Amino acid sequence: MTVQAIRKATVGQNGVGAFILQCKRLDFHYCDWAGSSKGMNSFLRHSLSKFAAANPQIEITVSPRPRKHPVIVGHYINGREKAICVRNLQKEQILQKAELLRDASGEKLKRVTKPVKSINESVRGVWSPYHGGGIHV
Amino acid sequence: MRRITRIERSVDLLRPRTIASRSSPYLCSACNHQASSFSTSASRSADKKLPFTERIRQKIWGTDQPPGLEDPYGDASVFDQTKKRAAVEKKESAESAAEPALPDDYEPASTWDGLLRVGGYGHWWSENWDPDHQFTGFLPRKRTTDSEVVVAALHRAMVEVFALQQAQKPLSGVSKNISEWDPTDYVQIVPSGNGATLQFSSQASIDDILQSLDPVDETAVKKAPTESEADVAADRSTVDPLNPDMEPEVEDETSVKKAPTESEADVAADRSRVDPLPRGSQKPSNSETAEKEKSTASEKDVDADKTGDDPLSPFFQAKTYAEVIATWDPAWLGVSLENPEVKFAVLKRTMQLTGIRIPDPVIKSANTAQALLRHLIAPPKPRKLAQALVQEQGLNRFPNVKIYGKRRTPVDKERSVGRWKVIEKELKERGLPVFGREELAVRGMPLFGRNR
Repeated sequence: MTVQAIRKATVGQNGVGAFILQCKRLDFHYCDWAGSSKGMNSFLRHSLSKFAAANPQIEITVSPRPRKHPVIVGHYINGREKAICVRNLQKEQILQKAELLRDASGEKLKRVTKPVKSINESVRGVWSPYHGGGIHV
Repeated sequence: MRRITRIERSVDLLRPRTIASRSSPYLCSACNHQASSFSTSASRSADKKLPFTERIRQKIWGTDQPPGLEDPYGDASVFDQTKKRAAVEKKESAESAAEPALPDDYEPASTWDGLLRVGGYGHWWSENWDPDHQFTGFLPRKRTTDSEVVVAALHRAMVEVFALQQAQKPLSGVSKNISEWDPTDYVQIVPSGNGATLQFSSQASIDDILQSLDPVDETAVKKAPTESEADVAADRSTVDPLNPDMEPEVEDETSVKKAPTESEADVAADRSRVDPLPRGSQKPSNSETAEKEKSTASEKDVDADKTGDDPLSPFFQAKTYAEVIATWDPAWLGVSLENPEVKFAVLKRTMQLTGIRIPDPVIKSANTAQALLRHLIAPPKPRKLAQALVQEQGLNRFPNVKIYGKRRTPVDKERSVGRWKVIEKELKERGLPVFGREELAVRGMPLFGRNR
């Protein structure tokens, strides 16, 4: 006989009932002087207001990082952070990167070989050596 | 093998043959040429002071002492002038060569202390560039930034230019004088046709404006040292100071005299019919307004006796620029500046009053007062992106957006989560540097890793 766990009526899954965005903060860093920040500065001037209005649940900070390439850093609720260097990118490309960071889960990137994954318990349960009838030799 | 001779330089052709002949006969011709290079210094033969005609004669005869007189026709020859000049020069050189007699107590200096210094700039700068002789340019040094003052200056410039045009006077006279007395506040500009007409009020007539532009009359009014002389000057001037409206102002002037400013210039300014403060930067302050109103109120009885009507005429109600601008018909902004002569005069006067330079593209494109004003009161472009994001994009209106003008350091990040105080306290307890290794170096302590 196997141990039967208390059956859960429901299993919490992000997106079932409520969806909580995993990205909690995006930092935009730019340089006032450097040419590699040209696209980033243009993005901040022209696209950031729209992006910020569309994603009110994400905290956005903009701060200079002099003499460095422009970077977008995403902070996630699992405690991890992801940074993408956007040097020499156009503002449309930077918007794509920002959306990528927004949509990311914060987990490390893994190769997904089996695209279907179940979170249901096994029907057979977990095997235990102390339960069930022993085998007499 | 024979060597090819060097090609002669073009300047060698200019050299007289005598130089080559004078050089050593033991040198080859190439060395001769090299040794006797072209020289700009006077030739030795010039020292002989032999007149040109004499030299020709010598050559013709082939001897140093040719027969016959030097000039059989007397002293009248042009060539003889050289002889005379040579004699004078010789005399002068002999005089200059003579050394001056030294005094008996002369002692040569062993150090340069106390000796007269010759050469260098000396006191040239202090004599020619000292603070007493400051250069004053056409534009004022300080650029006007207050937009209301700039609007008032443009209005003033336009009123003055159109007044000159109306009086059929040359428009170049517009920038000859900047008087503190500015009657243009009470003039309305009304667009008409391709120009504008001025609507004068009882406070300011065209003569007032023309007088304010005239530097001579202005000084006559301004320099009035005493009241009596001021009255004389006022009588001489074209302005009518004994306007019925001006009566209470005379009383008011006496009351203002009690105020701290008692210089005669102020008296003259008070006598004029505008606010006494210069148009430069400061607006009339509220305290002054209150003071003036108070003073007029105290002398209300006297005024009432004299004039009989309300003593608070608009002159001494010190107004702010915003109030003055509000009294103008906004149609003046649409006045055309198509006429190049008018446009140039307006631009020149505006630049003189405000100190704002107007670039050529704006001069070309601005055909109305509004277009010109758009450039004049445009705020300067933000130099930093963070400023631009706040000013132009208004990004700080979003509750989820924060914009920092400076780099976020690790300390800032700790501070934002409220951890920095704890970290700082712990570091201090352990005697560790709070802000890094530089702090240690300043305190003269060994840096980490050095002793190991």
